[in-house]
Amino acid sequence: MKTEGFKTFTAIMIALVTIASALVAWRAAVASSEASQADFSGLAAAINAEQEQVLNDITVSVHYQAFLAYTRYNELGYKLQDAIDAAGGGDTVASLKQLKSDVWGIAYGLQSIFFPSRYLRPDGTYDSQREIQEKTAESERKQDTKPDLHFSRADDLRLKADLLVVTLIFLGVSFWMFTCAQILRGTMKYAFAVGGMFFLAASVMGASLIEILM
Amino acid sequence: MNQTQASEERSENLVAFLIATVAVLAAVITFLQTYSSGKGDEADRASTQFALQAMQVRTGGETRASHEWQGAYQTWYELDLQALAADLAGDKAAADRFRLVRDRIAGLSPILSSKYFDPASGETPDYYGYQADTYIVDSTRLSEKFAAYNEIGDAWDDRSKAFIVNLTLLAVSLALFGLSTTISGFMRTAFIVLGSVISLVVLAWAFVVMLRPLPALPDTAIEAYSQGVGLASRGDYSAAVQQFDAALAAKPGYANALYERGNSHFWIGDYPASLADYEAAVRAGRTDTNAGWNLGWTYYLLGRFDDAIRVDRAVLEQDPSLIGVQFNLALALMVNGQLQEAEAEYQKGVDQAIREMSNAQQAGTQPPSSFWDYMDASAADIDNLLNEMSGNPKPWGQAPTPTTIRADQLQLRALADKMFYLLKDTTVALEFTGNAAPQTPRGIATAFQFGQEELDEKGNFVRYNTATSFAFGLNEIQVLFDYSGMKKGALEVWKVYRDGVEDPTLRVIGDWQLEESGSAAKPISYAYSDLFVFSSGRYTVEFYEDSHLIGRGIFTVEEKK
Repeated sequence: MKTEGFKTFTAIMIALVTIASALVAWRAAVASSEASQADFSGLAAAINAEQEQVLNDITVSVHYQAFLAYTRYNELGYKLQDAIDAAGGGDTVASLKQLKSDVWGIAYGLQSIFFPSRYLRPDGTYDSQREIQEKTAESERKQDTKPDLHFSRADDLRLKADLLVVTLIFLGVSFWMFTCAQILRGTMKYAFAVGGMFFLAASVMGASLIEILM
Repeated sequence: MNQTQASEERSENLVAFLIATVAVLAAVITFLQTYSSGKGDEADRASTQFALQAMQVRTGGETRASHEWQGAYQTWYELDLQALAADLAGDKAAADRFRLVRDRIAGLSPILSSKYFDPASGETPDYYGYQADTYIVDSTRLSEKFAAYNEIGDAWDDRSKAFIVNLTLLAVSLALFGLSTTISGFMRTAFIVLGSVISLVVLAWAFVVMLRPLPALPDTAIEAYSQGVGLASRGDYSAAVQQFDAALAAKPGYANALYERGNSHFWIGDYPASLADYEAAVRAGRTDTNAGWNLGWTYYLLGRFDDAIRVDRAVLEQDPSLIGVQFNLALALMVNGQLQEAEAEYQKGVDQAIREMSNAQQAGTQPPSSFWDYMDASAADIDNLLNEMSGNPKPWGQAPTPTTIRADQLQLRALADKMFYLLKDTTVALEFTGNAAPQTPRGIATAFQFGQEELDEKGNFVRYNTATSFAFGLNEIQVLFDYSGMKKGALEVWKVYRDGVEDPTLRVIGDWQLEESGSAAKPISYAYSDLFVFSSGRYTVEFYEDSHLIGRGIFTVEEKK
């Protein structure tokens, strides 16, 4: 009767180990699947980031080209002003003034349409760096352009899946010990049962910690 | 064979049968799991492919459009200005030559074709229309397919995960059945019953998972939606609404179509229809901050301030860094009569803006470009509200009708004025110094007068002819005012707005060179060239000294006759 009771106990423990193994295997599979999903999201974010960078580069380059054209006319206007100041008077001055009016007019036209004046520095240069940084910040706000966050989450989830699989090995050892306890006779069976319980408890605690911490 | 042995044999036979049945079920579910996982991978692959194609179409299209704008239109524009200059100088032959070259350029570029450009209108080419035709419709279609396949992939992955759980549970029931053969009595029966129940649950669960429909987005819906986005991007909102209607007919509850239709209704000015669409879009899954932002603003415009406050708060909970929504919340609280809370929220927004600027500086970066738009818009919204309350609304302003305002109007005006100055000061201080507005005394300027110089026949100054409205053709105007309490060398910024939008080409930035007090005439001018005059419209001139707004005035340039 005593042996029957012990056999029932080991059978229940084997059932518990099986259930625990099933749960751990399930959590490992889910973590692995979520890691794949995070990798996919990271890939999508990387595509977004690359796309936004290319688009921002295009926009800023185009603005900078327009700024160069503006500078060409603007500086020409200043040189004409120098020439007017040096000439003193006469017909030449009238035509120089006309030319100056024309080139400064064209410079203004370019400034008003083809690039944002906000990035013009007081010294007459163009702050492309500021424009690209503002655009990059804008892109980051508007859409997911940070793949590293997803990839790091994917790495964490993969590590979680790996650790859960390691606990499965301990559960396997526990299963083996309970099976031995059921087969063996004599006092050894108790030693195996204790060993099985130890590995079961360690595995359950380990898996629970992994679930809580990761 | 005694009765116990017979019962034992029947029991073992039953267990053997159950194990075999569960093994078949496990095989079927393994197949379903593998199939679902494969389908999920297929959908993810298609999704990635569409994302890459969308990127290629968008970057390629943007490159082409930019080059058309920069290479072709800019060249055309320069030649056009040169022709105008030659005309003004009386050199008709030169003007004709420039126009011939200009027209030759026009024939070389699609953006300068009659579809997008009417040179006689004086407007720039329809860049958004060109973008829509070149890539926006295509890239939207591909992006929608990317999202749709991503959703399908997720659904297959969810199925696959459910089948993994099913398989795990079947493993448990198999173990229970196996163990039941090693024991006898009640425990054996309990193990058999438990294993059977688990197997039946798994069977039912697997059926439900398989029968659950997968998300589907018909191609017709995507096509109509993409066309709608293209039409909206070129400003044809009525036609866009029709396309979004078609998309929604093909796929009721299509969240993006509802949201974009809401945007089109908004720009048409049909706020109630817009509101209905935004609400439906949120219900259909558009729970992002953009949808909430627009929903909150539409509630505000329709006078539903409690709803506006609730939605703005929810959006800020999602993303507290959205200063645009922060100021919308403060505005809604103000018109709702919660003046103290409104002031606190405005201050919170200002503090956040200062912090954002400081963080960006520390990181060696810049705040987003929209940061400045939202800072400007926050003050403009107060201005629009005050104009509406004064019975003087502007066509470009958005504000609720005065009858819906719950606050005491005198108290509201006082707070609105104070907040307006706070926002204006902060924006200029952050943009030009990178810091909060200094706690220095504000200089004083009298109300601006606007005038033109009158000269005698020798070109000597006679007087200023002041007015508030000027005939078209004006190329220089003087801002006349008296001042006191100024600091020599302090930052001096002039900003000019035309019809509510700043014209940054008219900005003047420098150091205050005049005395501490006196009279001044500040020119705002195109007089350096004969080619430009002030466009018709309502101009608002703002003067900042040491990052404090100390003067603000309005003049109008009449329509060209």
